[in-house]
Amino acid sequence: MVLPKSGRTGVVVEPMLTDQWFLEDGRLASAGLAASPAAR
Amino acid sequence: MKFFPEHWSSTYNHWLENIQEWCIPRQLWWATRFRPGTTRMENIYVARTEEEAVKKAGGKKLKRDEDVLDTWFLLAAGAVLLARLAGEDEGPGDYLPSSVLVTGFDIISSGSPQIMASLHFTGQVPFRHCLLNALVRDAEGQKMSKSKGTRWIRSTSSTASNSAALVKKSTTGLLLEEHRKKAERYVKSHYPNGIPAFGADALRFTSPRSRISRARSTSTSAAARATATSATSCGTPRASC
Repeated sequence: MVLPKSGRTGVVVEPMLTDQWFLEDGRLASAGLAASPAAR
Repeated sequence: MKFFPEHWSSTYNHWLENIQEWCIPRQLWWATRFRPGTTRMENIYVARTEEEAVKKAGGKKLKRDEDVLDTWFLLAAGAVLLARLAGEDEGPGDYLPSSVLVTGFDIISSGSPQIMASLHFTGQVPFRHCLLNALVRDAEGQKMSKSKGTRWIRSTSSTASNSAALVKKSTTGLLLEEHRKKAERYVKSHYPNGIPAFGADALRFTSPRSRISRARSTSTSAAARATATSATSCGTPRASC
């Protein structure tokens, strides 16, 4: 098993689960696609 | 909006057609934190200001989110900033689109949010043309990287540097210890005597001149002229498309 350590301090790196924010960008992507001439 | 070379539009379209929800927080020490008032405890309260968030929470003491924003989210947020800067008689899209964005082809996916956000908040694309150039790579074909110590340090080409100084410059601020060892080995083997002084003037004239002549010889398009202008203004050599 590989024990991950910090490259700078040498201490063991432990996982820390936290909440994450996600952006629903599907609708924004549609507008971005429409602006691309190759998509028309 | 057009991409130069045109085939990169397929990459752009493919990215947007298969887009996934975008995870925007990063767990870094250096970057812009989430907005004041974006707080996290047992319940989450999001507001424009910290006071507003506390009010929403019924006066409870809140803890601000420690995460920072993804760099590309901040780039996309430029459209919001522009919308706020626009005067009462102006629309946020009055300053858009700009003429051309010159950047590396590896930026297509991470830079597309800028286009999406600009369209959403201002109704305009951020730029008419996007010129995508190749990447400047090191002698082993690897992408130049500050964190890997494989970048070209401009000052070492204008003033002389002995091998020890080169090693120090190339191994400062790296992310991983293994990168430091690799960069040190590389510099010592390829530049055992360091680099002689070429002078700042030689560097200033050589980099932009080589770029301009190539642009003129390959195309007279507006995009190509824009590339030459970009290289001249920043004095930094860019690999050709």
